[in-house]
Amino acid sequence: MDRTPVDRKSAIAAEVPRLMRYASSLLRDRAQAEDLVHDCVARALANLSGWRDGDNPRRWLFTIMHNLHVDRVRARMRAPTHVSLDDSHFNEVGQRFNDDLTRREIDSALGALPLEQRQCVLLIGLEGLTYAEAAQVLDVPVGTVMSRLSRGREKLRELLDRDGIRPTLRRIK
Amino acid sequence: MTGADRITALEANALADGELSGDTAVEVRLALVNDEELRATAAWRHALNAKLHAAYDGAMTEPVPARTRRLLAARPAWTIPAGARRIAAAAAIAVTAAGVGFTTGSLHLGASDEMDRVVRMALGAHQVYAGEIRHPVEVPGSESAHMAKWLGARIGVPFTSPDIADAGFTLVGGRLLAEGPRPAALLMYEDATGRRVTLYMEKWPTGEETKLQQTASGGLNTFYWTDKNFACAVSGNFDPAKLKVVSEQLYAALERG
Repeated sequence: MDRTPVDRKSAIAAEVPRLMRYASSLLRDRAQAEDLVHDCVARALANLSGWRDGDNPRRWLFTIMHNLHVDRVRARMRAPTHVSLDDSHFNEVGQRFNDDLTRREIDSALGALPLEQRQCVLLIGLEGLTYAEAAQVLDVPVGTVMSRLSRGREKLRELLDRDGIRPTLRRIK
Repeated sequence: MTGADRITALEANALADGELSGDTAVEVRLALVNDEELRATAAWRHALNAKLHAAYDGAMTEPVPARTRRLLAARPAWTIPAGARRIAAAAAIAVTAAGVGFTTGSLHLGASDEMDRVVRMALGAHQVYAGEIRHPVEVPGSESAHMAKWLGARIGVPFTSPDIADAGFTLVGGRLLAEGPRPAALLMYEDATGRRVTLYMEKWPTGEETKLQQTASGGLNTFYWTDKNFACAVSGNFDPAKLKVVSEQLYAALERG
């Protein structure tokens, strides 16, 4: 049986907190995260008919948000004013609204990751998507998700894991 | 994974993420017993996820901005108020009328230079408008007949709005572009996940026909061609095989008229 538009709207509303969390961790800037979530909800509502019954609303919404973010990164690359692509400038902005040391440390470590690795670390580690779901959202093969995730986590370990056991010998493939 | 493969950090992560089962899970568990580095990798997965939750879970309980709440409370579908649309259309016509004076400059270029320009403009228009939420188009797809009539008249070649629902795309709408030597039309389509494809069209005065060709720039693929009347370019962030299917459907629909 078809879900009504009202049902679908309330299902979207129920996902907004997760969208906010993912956008906040991806962008590390409250205002930009709110913009991205707003635009994602707007596009989802305009596209209710594109949500087939049985589709997982979370995966559908994360896919929409991912596509919006990709469009935005591309628009920024094209913008006449030069904006650094390593998005280290986000770190300073991120500090404005949160003075928590842990949060700042993690913001800055995530900012040091290439976007593709950050997406995988967050979708799987924070949002709990399966590898297959993350692969669908990002539109890449599962193997690519696995290697991006592994490299991203390793880099974060170098940056954040001061207490962890650091082996003196590193494995060489 | 076969027994001969080295167990790497990828598998250690997959085990920690609950992605493995059966014999594979057993195999990786056994490898971890003898490998301190792999154990550290798997342990770090749990420590890192805890740090991520500590840092960002707060964002889930922050108040949802009022504008987003309004969106969820109001009627679905974004509709551009008719008044705003009329103003935008009038402005576009005024700009185009001013642009017509430049018309002939590019006719001295060779056909391939001219086509290069068409592709550049198509890519530029895609990059500017595909990311727009509130105003991606001037006339919405719900008024497709009116849109095609208006744009056809403005660019000087009548056409019928192509339907590519078979390829999984619905019409978002269209807009007039005034940046080039003559007015051009941009039609926008999107799939169920909101990924967008644009069709750029302008009049092709030389009347020659070329077959479908492909180019790529900055992650975007473009297919372009000319027929008797049109120079067309289809752009999108899709793999070439997928975009080719869409382009062929658009080509066939325009041929049918």
